Amino acid sequence: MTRLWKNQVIYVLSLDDKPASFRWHGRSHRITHISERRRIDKYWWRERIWRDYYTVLTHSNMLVEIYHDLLTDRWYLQRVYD
Amino acid sequence: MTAYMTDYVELHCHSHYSLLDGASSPEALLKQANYLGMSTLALTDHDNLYGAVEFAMLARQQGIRSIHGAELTLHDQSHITLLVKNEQGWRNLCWLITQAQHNAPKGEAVLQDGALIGHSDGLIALSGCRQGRVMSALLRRDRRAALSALAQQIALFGRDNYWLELQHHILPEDDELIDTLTAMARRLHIGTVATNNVHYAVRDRSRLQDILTCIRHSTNLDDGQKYLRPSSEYYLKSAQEMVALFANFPDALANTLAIADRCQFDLKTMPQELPDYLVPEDVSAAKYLMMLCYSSTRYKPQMHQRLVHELSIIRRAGLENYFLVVWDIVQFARGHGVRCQGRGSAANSLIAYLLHISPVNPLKYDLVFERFLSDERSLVPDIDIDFDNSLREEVIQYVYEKYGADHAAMACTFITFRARSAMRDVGKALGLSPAMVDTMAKSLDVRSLDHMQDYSTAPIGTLLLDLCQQIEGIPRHLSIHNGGMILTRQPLSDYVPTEPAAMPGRVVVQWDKEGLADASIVKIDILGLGMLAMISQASEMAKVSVDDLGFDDPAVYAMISEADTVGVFQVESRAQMNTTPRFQPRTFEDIIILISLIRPGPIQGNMVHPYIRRRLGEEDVDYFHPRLEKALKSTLGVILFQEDVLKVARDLAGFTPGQGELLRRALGKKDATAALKQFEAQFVARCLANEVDRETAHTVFEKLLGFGSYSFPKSHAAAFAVAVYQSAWLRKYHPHAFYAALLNNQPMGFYTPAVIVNDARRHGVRILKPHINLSQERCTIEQTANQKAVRLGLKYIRGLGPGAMEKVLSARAAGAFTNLEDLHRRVRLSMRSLEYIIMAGAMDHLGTSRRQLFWDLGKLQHKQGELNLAFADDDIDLPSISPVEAMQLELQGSQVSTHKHVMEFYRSWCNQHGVKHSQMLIACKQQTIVHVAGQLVVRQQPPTAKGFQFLTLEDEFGFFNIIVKPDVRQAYRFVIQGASILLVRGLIQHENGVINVVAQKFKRLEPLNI
Repeated sequence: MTRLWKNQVIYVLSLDDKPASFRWHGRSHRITHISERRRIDKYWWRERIWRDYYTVLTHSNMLVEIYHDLLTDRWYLQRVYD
Repeated sequence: MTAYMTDYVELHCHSHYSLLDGASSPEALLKQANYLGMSTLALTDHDNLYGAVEFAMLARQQGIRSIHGAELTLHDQSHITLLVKNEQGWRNLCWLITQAQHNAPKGEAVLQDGALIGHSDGLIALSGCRQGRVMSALLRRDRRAALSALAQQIALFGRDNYWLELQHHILPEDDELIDTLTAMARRLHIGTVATNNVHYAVRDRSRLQDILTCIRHSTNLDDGQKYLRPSSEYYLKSAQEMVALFANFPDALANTLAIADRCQFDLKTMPQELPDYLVPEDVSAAKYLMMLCYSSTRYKPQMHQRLVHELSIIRRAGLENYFLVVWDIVQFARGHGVRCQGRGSAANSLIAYLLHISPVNPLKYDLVFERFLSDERSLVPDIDIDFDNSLREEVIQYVYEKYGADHAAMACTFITFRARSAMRDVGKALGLSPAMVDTMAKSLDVRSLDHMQDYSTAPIGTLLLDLCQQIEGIPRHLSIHNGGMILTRQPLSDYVPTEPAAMPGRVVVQWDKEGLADASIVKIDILGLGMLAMISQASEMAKVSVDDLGFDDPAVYAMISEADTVGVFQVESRAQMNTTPRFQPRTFEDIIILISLIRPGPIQGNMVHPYIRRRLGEEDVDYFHPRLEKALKSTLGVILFQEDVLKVARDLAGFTPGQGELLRRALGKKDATAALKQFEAQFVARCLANEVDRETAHTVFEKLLGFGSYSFPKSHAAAFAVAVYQSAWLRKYHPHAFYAALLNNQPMGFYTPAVIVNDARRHGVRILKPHINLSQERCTIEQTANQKAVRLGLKYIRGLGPGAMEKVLSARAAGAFTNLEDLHRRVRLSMRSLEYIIMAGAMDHLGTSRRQLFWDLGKLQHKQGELNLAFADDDIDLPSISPVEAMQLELQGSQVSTHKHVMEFYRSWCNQHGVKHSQMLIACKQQTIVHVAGQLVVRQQPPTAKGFQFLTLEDEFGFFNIIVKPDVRQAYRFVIQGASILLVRGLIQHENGVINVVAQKFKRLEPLNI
């Protein structure tokens, strides 16, 4: 099971162009492992979506999916895996 | 190893020659490579080498080294990337692509694995993209299949020539795939290489790539998402970007340089050898050619010196065989009744004249041989020959049969997106409704996206306009060049791949005429010319020969001077008709000048009016220098023909004709500034040595520069002038045969069959409706004791194809058709075809009204069904058909109305409202306001006309010229585009014997309701 979140802005610290930690709901989460990275660029003919998605494991063993919106340069949390 | 400017060479790159897939031109890719500081780039289009020559040429200009290759499709639809190391590799790649193309339907290619055996020398193989056999197996988690494919491909190419391709487009599986492939490579002792599978030069172009993908799959962006690439990462990436993606795999990056270093093949000119013409035993080709010339019926003793000169140049160029091959083709054509004549620069050759390849005696018209061939010019020139287009296929098939499909093929041509097709295809891909796309496309000029600005206010309109602009000019599909044939002694696939064309029995090479010319591969243009078919058929019907005409009949020139030239070759256009009354051609030379002068180049170069003013004595003739009088006398001091450059350079600066030809070629080239500077210095120096002052030398050279690329050899005009005179002569003296043959060869020229029929009627030639019992397939002349007329052929009945016509004619051989039921019973045509036969009036002679025939047709339709119920129709009183209805039906059924012009039905309304007909304008004073009305028959907006549009309207008395200024055109464009009968208010303009109406307002005339 996963829980989807909408418009969850997070603040990310990057290292070597990769997310290293993020702050969400007032708490800081250190990323210990990036298990997947994927980039999408689609729907440009309607409302373009151009994002880098990361599935990451945090130091508290939370598996989450975050993404970097490349159009606005903002980060969001989208999914928390059980 | 060569020193490279960057740490990465892209070895897997598609241009727009990967049709409907790649979204950037070779030029755009090379410019981007240059911008990124890349010193080398590979081109690997899908299953073709379409862009290879262009890529090589442009790369050389950009200072980038080009690597040639292709991504081939194997029989399981998997891909493999092949790169050319050397000449053997090029030959093998051409051969493999040829095999793949001939092994699949047009537009597809499938290579059997077996074909690679023995044809991998000189090639480097990369394992391919995600559709490659290895990567696709790994994506299916079938490691065993991946290893098996790998082993098989290594066995084919050898460990040294096979590399595992690593690609990273930031897709979820990419990291894992790369790790696995690297591990496999290490275990099997093969190398890996990073590529980006480039499909466009820059990221922004990915949108167009999505659009092209949708067009390829006939879908739209929403419905076709499964076909679209997931991201926009398939652009030409910089070395830095690739290093970031492959930071952990430095070998894969370094190997791009190592592979590039091994690919040293440079696509330059190719030593093409033509097949041998089989000459008689103990006679060389040179001697045989000489014998043919001296024994020609056209040979005269005074030709000897020139002939010796030409033969010696041909001998030094080793082209005797070339002439014999062309002569053989012409011989075949003439022997089989196919009218033909050479055109282009070949008509500068006396040998071509003596061999009956060209109709023009070059000595008579002072045509310089060196324009065709010289010692200084190393390139072999094309020979262009026009053939009767109705019989040309016989000639092409003769060449195929004689030399074999492996040695003979046609040049290809690329059909590119133009304004309307771009609008339709892009609009559909964006998901716009078909009706909307259709409306927008119809509102566009075929060639220009200018009016699309109207739609760019809505967001989707902006997007549509942007994408249409991007896609315009991109090749959409491949077609056959209209006549260019390539012949080689070695198999063609040693030079260039071939593929089947859409037309059965035709094979095309993968380069178009520019590509072939750039690669110095000579082609023989076997062109189809409708006018030759017309002349041939008209001569046959009139039982006359036009081959020995003297070109000196004043009546023929008078007819041309009166602009009475509908249907006459080259002089029937509006621009020509507007010029001839002032020009007043009187001789064959005049015709040569006339058809050379009224062309975009001279018009743009402001040469037309000076020439005509000088001709009329309104302006002094200026030859710049007395030495040039001889060269420019016939053109009254205007440098008009390509040959004039050679003559001017010869007479003023003492250039040899060959040097003059090199100068002419430089004048016609873009980006030849450096070469022209050298020529100028040489020209001026030699003028000074010839006692020509510096100022004159510079002035004349400036004139030559202004001549630029008008590019019309006098020899070409002279060859065409023969057909001008012959067609005009036939029109003058054998009008029935002329109009019948002209109608048989439509579409051709500027006018529709309806306009031709009207013109015939105005010249007293009766045109008769199609007749189910009298019409042949083509139009014929019917002659009775007291009248002669042209009978329209069955081909003019809409919907009757060759099969249906044959059925009608063969059934009719057993006896005339007596009524509709008889025709239906004996021929079994479709109901629609029968309807068109009735509409066209082809059964009027049977005494039953057309309305009754339609009624009877309805009953026949019912009889085709199961129930044979009787209809009590005797009491039904069917109204008769009015003349207007009859005309409308004829137009629907046969495109033409033989009885009346449509404007005759409006005439009484026009008279009541002061609307003038075409013959009344001559009495109207300059600048008076008139109202005119007519049927719109020609609409032109030449690119050189600065937004002006020229309309030709027709009424029962003749034509009107309407000039539409840009602002009026903009205001009334929907009226002009949508209407066929126009009412125009405008100002009368008398100019040089031509009357124009400068339009102010347009109105559609309401449809007839009579």
